[in-house]
Parts: sequence; C-alpha cells; structure tokens
Amino acid sequence: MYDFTYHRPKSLADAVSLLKGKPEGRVMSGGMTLIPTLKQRLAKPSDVVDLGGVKELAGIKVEGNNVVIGGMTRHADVATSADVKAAIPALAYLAGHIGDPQVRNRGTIGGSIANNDPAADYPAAVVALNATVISNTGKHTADAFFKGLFETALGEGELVTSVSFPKAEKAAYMKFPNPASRYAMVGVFVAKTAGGVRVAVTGAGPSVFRVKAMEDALAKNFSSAAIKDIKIPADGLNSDIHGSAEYRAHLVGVMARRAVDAANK
Amino acid sequence: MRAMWLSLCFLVTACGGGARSSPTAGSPANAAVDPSGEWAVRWDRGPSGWQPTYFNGTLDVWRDGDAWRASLGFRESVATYAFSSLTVDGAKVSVAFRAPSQGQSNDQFLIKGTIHDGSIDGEAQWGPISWTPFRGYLAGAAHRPARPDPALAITGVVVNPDGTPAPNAVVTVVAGNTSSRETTDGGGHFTVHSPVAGDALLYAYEAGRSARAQGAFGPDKSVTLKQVAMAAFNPTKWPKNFEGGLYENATFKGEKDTFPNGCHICEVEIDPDTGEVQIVNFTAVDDFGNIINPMVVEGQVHGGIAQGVGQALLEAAVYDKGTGQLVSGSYMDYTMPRAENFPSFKLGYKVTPCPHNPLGVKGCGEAGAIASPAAVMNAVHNALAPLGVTHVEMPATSLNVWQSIQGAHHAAAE
Repeated sequence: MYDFTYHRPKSLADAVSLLKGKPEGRVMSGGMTLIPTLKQRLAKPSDVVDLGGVKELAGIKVEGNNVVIGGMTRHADVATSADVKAAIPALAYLAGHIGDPQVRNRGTIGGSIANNDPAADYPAAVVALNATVISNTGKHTADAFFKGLFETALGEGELVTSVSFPKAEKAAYMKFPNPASRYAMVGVFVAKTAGGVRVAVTGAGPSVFRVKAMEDALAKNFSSAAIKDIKIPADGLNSDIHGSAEYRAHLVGVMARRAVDAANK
Repeated sequence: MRAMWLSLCFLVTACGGGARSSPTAGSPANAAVDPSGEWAVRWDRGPSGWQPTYFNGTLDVWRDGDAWRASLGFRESVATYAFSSLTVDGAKVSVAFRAPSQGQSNDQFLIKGTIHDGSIDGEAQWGPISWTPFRGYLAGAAHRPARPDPALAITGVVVNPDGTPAPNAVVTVVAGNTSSRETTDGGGHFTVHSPVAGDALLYAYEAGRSARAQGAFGPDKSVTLKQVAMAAFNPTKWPKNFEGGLYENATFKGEKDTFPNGCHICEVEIDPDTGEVQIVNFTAVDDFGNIINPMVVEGQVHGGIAQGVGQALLEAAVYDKGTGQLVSGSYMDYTMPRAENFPSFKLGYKVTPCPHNPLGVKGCGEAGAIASPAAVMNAVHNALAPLGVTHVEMPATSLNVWQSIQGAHHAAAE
C-alpha cells in the first residue's frame, strides 16, 4: 500500500469539498474493492475520503411507491430490511447473497454500483427495476448510469447519495456464482413493475445488459415457457476458466427461466 | 495405500564447548559438523541459516585416541523409521516421540500410548519433523514399554578421554551404528545402537549393579530403572570407563507396509441445465486395523474425503497456454471445497488388526483422499452415461460437465 492522506468527513458537504481539487483522490464507501486494490498497490490515490462517517447517506425509507436506499447502506441492512422485504423481496434476497457475511456487513449499495464491477449483483437489480440513481449533483436513470466495464455516468466529485427503486409487482434474482470467488458468473434479475417487464443480466458481459427479446416475450406472457426458446448470442460475453462465453450465454437462459418461475411463486 | 517415509531423526542437543568433533576422512561431503569445536551440529539450513535440528542420516561418534570424532552420513534409503526415546534425568523420566504432528492430533493418541511401567512416569514430547501419514503406526510401535534392558541403550554422556564428563558438553546423541544389536518383540522390531561411550546403558546397568554391590540398594533386591538412572548420574558410583548418564532410544523400522483398505460409495445429482454436481450421499467403510482414537480417525477420513472431492470436482491449477501465467493463482479463481459441497458423511469401520506391528494399526490419513476421487468420478460418469457421455475431465466442474453433455448431444446428432 502506498501512502495516502486519509479523511473521514462527517457530512456529505464536507466529503464533496474534500474531493475538490484532488484529481487523484478516491472515495471509499465499504472499501470492498478499494482496500484490496490499495493493498496490491494497483492504485496510488493521493487522498482517500472515507464516507463511513457520513450518517446522512445510510438508511432505508419508503417514499410513496418507491424504496429509497441511501448510498452508504450496507448489504446486510438491505437484506434484513422489513421495508425492502415487503416492497421488493427479490432485492432483499439479492443483497443477502452478495459475497459473504463479512462483505455484506461492510459493502454498500452506493459503492457497488459506483464501482460497476461486471460481476457485481446490484447493477442487475438497478437496471431490471429501472431504479433511479441519485447523486449530490443530480439523477441518473438506470439505463444511462451503467456505461461499461467499471464505468458509470458519475462525474468528477459526484457521489451516489441514494438509489430509488420502484416497487415491483413480480421480481426475482437468480445467480449462478463463480465456484471460487462467488461473484456472479451469471446473474439475472427479472422484474415486472408498473413500467413494464425488464430482464437484466450481470456477470455475463463487460457490464450489466438487458435482454430485449425476453422482455418482449414476458410482457405478453410472464412465464418461463415464453422465453424457453430465446437464445442469447455468446458474442462479446465474458470467457474465463470457470465459464466460456457459450456457457455463460446458455446460463443466462437457464437463470432467466428460473427467475421467472421464482417471481411467479 | 502407499507407505510414505518418515525420516530417521537424530536429535543432538549441545551446550557449551569442550568436546571437539570433526568429520573423518571418507565421511560424506555434505556432512556438517561445526568446526568451531562446539557440539553444535549443523544439520540443516533453517530460515536463519544453519541450525541444529533433526537430521536424516547416520551419526557416528567414537573415540580416536585422545580425540572424539564424529561422522555424519545421509541415509540413501527412505525406509520408515520412528524414534521414541526415553530419557531419565534424575527423578524425571520423559519420553520423546520423533514423530511430530502434521495435524494428526498426536497429542490425542500419543497420550494414550504413554507408558506407565513401574517407577516410570512417562510424558510425551514431540519435535518438528516428520513425513509420514503412518506416524501413529510408527510412533506407537516404536514406543513399546521400556524396560531396564541394556539391549535398548544407545546413548550416553560424552566424557573426556580421562573419563571425566566433558565440560558443559552434555550431548544427547542418538543412534550411531558401530555396535548394533537387534531384538524383536512381538511384531515390533527394535534396532539399537550404542557407539557413544560404548554400550552406555550396559554400563549404566553395571553402575546400578555396582551400586547394589556397594549396598546402595541392599542385596537380592531388584533394581528399577529409576534407581539405575540415579546411579548413572552419580559420578561417585560410576565404574571404571563408564561415562555417565542414561539415555535410551528405541527405533522402530517398519519391515512391511500396512495395507488399510476400504470401500467408498458416492451418490451425486447433476443439474442437467447447468452441469452442477452435488454430492447427496457419501458412505465410507474402512479397515484401519486397531483404532487408537476414533475421533482422530474420523477427522482424518473427513479431511481426506474433502481433499479428494476437491480434486474430483473443484480444484485445478490452470496456466494460460500463451503466456504460461498461472490464472488460478488466488482463491478468487482456485476453487477450494467448502462445507456446502458436502453431505454429512456416513462412516464405518471394519477392524482387522495389522499383523506387522505391535499395535495392529494401519495408516488412515490418505484413505479418504485416495478413494473419494474415484468414487465421485465414477458416480459422475454413471449419472451422465444415459446422455451418452463417456468421459469427463477432472475436475468435473459445472463447465466441464456441461461441455461433456453438449459434446454428447452433438455426437448423437451427427
């Protein structure tokens, strides 16, 4: 680990001002990716601004038809939240299956989506539920937020303050974990909300993506039978020692059908 | 199961200078005796340089005119040996096992094997080297009840040529071989050597007899080992040419391997959509001969099965074909078995005492790891046979199984 200056602001305003004029500064929420990166000397930030002391960023509240989750809310808190379980049980399920208990008690939703790891779980829920990502400077639709591999629409000095999820009529998340790391090798979030049906896939490609053909078929008939013949092309999908692109493409279909079945239960 | 080797271990403890040792002509080039004149024998390169430690090989120490000489030789064979030594130091008797733990819970079973023979209260110790899954068999077998039998003596205290103890040079030298004798005891096999101070315990015994002759113990009374030991450490009671001290070591050399055997049965379920293999039942019945500590044996079998299942289903060291880079270089990519990969094992034992060693025991450490991969892979192939799959590479990961199923589909379609 290289030397850096550590800051632990108590308010969002302080955090934002600390980051000003520090192009090499980094924000830390749960640190689940940043800390290992620092330890391996893969990053050399001048400053680390730890959001752990910013209480206003953590917490879950229900606002009308939406569940609003603060950016610094830990996965374990989402997994066990009565509000989340009541409004979108699939989201609580997803949060409860991220990493392991240590990760779930440190990692945050804001950190996860701002990092946009291709195998992270949350991006699938954000896109499938068509959530809104709220920052200190504005709002992003889910589709516009995730730009590509580890890339988001967040600008310099912009922090995820909360994510607003619309309640789902039906939703489920099915993950096929990498056998070693337990990250999603393929994770499919299927949701039927007031805005329609969405199918979002994480783990399989460089970034979360939607499967339009499945969405159209499910909009007409929300059953696994409706999508059983839809094939996902392997082109452009991730390939590694645990899963070829063809295997991942195949698993998208399997996980999507299982998610639909689970959502219908 | 194959017999692994246990190093023949010599323990040399030394304090202070006085006696001098030097390699003799013809001793192996890699013999390492400290030329500084101290009895610090350099056995091995440790993390901080040469360190006196256990040593694989032979050590001979003898008197050459006025000088003491020592010779070290590395043993070429990988025969199975274990050491169990008995040290009597004043009133304290300790038993040292040179078959230390690599995780086999020696503290559990050696305590059970500790002797209580008349005046001797044994205590178990163990040191830092060993290589065999057969340690229970070896250490246990080597550790027969010690008796005040001169034939079991092998070491003594080094003394100066004039017969006085070398200053501060209390050297516990174990196992030379210039005058070896062997006794057999049941299935056990003791090889004893006593080049140091020449049949030390015989002298010690003579010291005891001498003491008795002097009336120390009274006429017509037996002499306990403890009494012999007391005399052996009392220079005023030493006979001429006796060098003092009493140390005993017993070495057990396994003349024959043990042959544990068993049957492992595995039942798997395979998800045809994903290729995931789940073990739903695993039953193992093994014959390990007499079982000293059932809890330890059960743990060994559990660990062995887990290792074997990891090999069969999960673990692979994968290198990039183009660059030679290890791509499974961390636990983010190298799949260690987890609790969720296993059902609760059903274990059973059939006890056929081994005739080749006094305890009637057999090795159990590798049984699980040897039988389980075959059982798991046979189950996987049996499950996939109706689909036309004839071969799945190990490890049978979800990806490998799925690809095998796809291959069989394609073959059927052609």
